[in-house]
Amino acid sequence: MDIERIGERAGAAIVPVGGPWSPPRTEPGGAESVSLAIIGSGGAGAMRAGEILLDVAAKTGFFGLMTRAMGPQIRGGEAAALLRIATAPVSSLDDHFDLLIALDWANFSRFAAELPLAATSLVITDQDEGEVPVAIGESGALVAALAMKKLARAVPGGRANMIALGAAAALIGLPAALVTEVLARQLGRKGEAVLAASAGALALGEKAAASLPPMRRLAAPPAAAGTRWNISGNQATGLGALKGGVSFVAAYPITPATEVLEWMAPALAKTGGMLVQAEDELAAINMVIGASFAGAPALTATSGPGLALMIEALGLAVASETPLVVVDVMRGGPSTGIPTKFEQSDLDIAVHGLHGDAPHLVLAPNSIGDCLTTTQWAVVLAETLQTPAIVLSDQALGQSRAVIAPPPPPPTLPGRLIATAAEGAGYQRYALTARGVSPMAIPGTSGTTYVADGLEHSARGAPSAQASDHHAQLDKRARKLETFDYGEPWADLEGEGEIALLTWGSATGPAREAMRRARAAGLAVRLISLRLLLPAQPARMAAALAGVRRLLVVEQSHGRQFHKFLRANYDLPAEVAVISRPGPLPIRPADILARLATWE
Amino acid sequence: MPDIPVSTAPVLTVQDFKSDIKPIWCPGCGDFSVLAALTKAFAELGRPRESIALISGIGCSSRLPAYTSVYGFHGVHGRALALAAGVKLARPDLTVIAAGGDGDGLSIGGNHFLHACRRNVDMTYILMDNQVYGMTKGQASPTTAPDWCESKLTPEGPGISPIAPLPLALAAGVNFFARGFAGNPNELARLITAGITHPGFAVIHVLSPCVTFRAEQRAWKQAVHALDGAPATDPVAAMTRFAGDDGFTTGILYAGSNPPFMPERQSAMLAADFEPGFVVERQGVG
Amino acid sequence: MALLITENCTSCDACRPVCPNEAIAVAEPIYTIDPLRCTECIGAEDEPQCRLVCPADCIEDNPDFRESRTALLAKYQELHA
Repeated sequence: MDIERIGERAGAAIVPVGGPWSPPRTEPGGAESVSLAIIGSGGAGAMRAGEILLDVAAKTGFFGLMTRAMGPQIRGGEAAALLRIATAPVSSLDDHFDLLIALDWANFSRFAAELPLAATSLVITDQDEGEVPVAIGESGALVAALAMKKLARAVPGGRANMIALGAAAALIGLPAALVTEVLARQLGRKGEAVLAASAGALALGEKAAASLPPMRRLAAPPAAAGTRWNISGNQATGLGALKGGVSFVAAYPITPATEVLEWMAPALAKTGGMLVQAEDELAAINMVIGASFAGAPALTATSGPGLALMIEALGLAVASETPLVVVDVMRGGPSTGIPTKFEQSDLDIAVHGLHGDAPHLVLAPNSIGDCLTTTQWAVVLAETLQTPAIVLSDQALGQSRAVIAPPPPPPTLPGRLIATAAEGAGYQRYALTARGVSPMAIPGTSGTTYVADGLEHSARGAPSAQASDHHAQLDKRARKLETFDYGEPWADLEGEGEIALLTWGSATGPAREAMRRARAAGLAVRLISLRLLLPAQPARMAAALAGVRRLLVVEQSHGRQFHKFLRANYDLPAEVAVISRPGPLPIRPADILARLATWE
Repeated sequence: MPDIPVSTAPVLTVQDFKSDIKPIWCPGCGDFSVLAALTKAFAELGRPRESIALISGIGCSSRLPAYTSVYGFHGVHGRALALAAGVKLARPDLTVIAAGGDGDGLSIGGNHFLHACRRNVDMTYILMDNQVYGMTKGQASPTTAPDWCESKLTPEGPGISPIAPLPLALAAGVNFFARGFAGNPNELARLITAGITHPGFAVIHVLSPCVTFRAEQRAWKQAVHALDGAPATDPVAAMTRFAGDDGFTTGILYAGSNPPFMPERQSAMLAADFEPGFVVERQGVG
Repeated sequence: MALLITENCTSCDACRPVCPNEAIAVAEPIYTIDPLRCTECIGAEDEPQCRLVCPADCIEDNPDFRESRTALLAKYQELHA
């Protein structure tokens, strides 16, 4: 094994890539958090190796996070598992990767920017799989060679990704025996031969690690920390929908939302519900409206292009006051954009997309675990307020997995206000009630037949073009959302101080870590992450911003959609700065800390 | 799902199935006869009003639900079939009817028409065909002849050949296809009743003259002719038999036997039962 | 002659409101004219109003009720006495 050195790095000063706030990385007892990436072409098994590593870390007692960087190709494109293993829950990837294992460099250029390295990083390359790219050298990282492909051939059926897995686990300090055990369970059903080949390759990888340069190793796993889950955002979204009471889903596949629907299909079938595949998004959303009208809480999941197709029907749901939830797992836009990467650029269409005055709900989970809580909340809110709700998740949450504590449940709500047969002859579906919500008759109930209508209508539901009916129904549909008390979950408020980070959705991850690092270094910073975007909550926001002199808005869009939304709906402090960067590069904690530092 | 109290309905007359709202249709419109035939079919079927859901899109004919006293949903243009499928799939106990015109159903709603035939959900689709967009005052629809020059949008005529609903539906796997004429509401009522009672997706193609923009359609009275022989029951035979259909053959033309689409449900688990699957079992390593 | 609504009727309700003798009734599946009350509008109008408004031109002379003008006028006066 020859170790190709690019510059002597041993003992070099640790130069953090990001801002001045990253605490010095001296870890006598081991690192609280280690970040690594396993990259290669699609089908090389980088993703599988990453998933097993996260599973092993979880079983060892650690917390962690794994996101995927993938090209649109089914096979052959770029594929990377980006992991962070830690002794405590983590909300975002770190500023850089401590370890990068490249099964091959074939597609590295396509996502080099998503793999920041530091002077302390170790890069493992397979000298038979292409030259080390120039960018790696420039990072100052230490490069070591490991002929993974050749080594794998020493084991019949062995694969390079298992060599990489063995090496990675050994390097960062995960128990080898557990890796083999997890592998056995995951590959068990594929038969003894595959298992033996993988276990063999794994052992070779572990052994090879001994001859590789040392790197940061994990501290001991935390003492038992209560129940922990290993779950993806899309799975959490599906589970939250189910827990909210959804019993009908109409599905049309679209990256990166399909996994929500694929998780729900068998689950609904076993819980008395149903998932039906539709011919297009127009059919999907209208089937959802039909099922909800018939009494079944209903939902669909899509991404930007699908949401655009569904907008007209969402207007029908607003006008006919039919509850439903649409989960928009956002991706790079506009148009086809970048289906496999994330962005927060559907806020405008979610808030303003419906034609006419069409009040509705817009919510957004701000972590992988929160996908469950926010989706469940959206379902019961939609049912209680008889309105469509758009849930803005994104690829960074949906297709990432995390080892987390079980997410908290949302508030319990009364659910749908159902008209009883007693309403009788005088039943008015769209009665002008004080709170705005009016009893909804479920088909099959005698005496309360009515026609739900997208056409403007009177209190009874008869078509009407009269100004009086139009104004009364517009007021009713707005009143029912604006007078409702959404309570604490409207936003996550953490920390105090005259400086505030105001963000939403997946950008909350790095913002939360930046806030924690800043506070650890003595700078008082508070975090405000909006979960409920529409309707706006002026009173609650004023209270949350009380005492704030400087505001840093953090979002991942090119057109500063969130910042404009804030200015349209809220009074902001005098001094406001904005970090607004489109996908696919995630904003890192260090980027936020660097901006805060300029306010010193 | 709330358990729904369904009353034991007294015998209902045709009038009981009509609402008190006066139709906006032009006097003499064929859709009046469709309303008469539909309510007559409901009275003959004897099902309670609350057990029926009538779903429509946008257009003259899609105003139908408001003039009945059953549950209704007046949706958006072209999507009645999808909305109706959602109602039926969520509530198999309901009798679900979709209604709309040739524009709503075969132009903007064409894709849903294909997949409704293919999916074969147990519901009935009343396609009121007057070969014109009436609500928007006289444009050509997918069933309009290529040389009809009365529309300001296509003053030289659409210039393209019309869609023939029957072969299109058969090719897409429709399970029941009947054609009626608004001028014969009694026969139309029988066809609607037959469509509702036939399992699976049933299309009732109604030639319903537009008295205002297609006054010449009064001649349909002489053009319609009853199907000679029994309805086709084999899809392939039906396709060859009706390939050259002139569009005026009335009666039950095809009655197939595809089983209706209805995913079966089990209530074996609760939502919370899925949480253990995500729990990480901490394993002490020796 | 009283008048008769034939099968082309689409129940569009255009005729019922214009009949001076309220002789037209909603029926299934087409409307009907009560021959005992129909005076072909003699006594009220110069021509039968229902036939005037019917878009389907489906109102004909009722072959079973051939009455002279004077008989129809007498019926009208009796109805409105």
